[in-house]
Amino acid sequence: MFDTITTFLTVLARLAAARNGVDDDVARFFRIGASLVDKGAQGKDAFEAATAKMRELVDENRSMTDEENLALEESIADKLARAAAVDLNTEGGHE
Amino acid sequence: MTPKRLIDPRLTDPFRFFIFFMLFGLVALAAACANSPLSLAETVEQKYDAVRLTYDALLTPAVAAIEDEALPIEARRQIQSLVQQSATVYALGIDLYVEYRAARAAFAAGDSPESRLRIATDNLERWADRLETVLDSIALAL
Repeated sequence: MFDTITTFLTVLARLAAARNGVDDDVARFFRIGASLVDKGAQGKDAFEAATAKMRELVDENRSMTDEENLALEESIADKLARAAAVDLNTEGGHE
Repeated sequence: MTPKRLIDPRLTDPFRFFIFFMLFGLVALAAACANSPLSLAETVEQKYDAVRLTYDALLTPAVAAIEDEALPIEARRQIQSLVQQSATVYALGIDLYVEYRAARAAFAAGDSPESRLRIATDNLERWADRLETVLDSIALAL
């Protein structure tokens, strides 16, 4: 469903962008909409993977092994570093 | 004669557009949370795992949003700020988990009273609750 909505909004954004300047704002808001839906899809996939991992742990009646812990901590540390690396204080928020 | 617009003018209202997608996101999130890692966890250690798995999952769209130049700068700044706050809370949990494991091992070996293990367990559970609250804030911002 997310893919369909993202594709739909992206096509609408391109259609709007193809028209003259008066529709720039429309194109921008469709782009934002498509982007937000895409974030929702990414979050949903990641959340489902986390839930599947947790179900595995509960089914096996255990907590994470040291190796699993290390992999998870590295994943979190990597994402936190990426989040911190984006400089949003400069105009436009470019890295 | 005014030419008819291809797209309904109501769609150009940024406020309506944002409200629509915020609601859409919340509905999707609520559906996903119905069966979450936290709802599955049965022990304090599994709760520690669950809250970190949830944190890792939530960071995926959060980081993507921060890096996405198509999104409004203010929204990206707000999410970045929340992620930075969450990092402080997350780091505290790692220390508390080390203390919990040490207390559990010492208790199992008979080198430490049960009270130390109980305090370490309570601290870890309180931390998990605190991180869960921070995660709610990030999810709402997304």
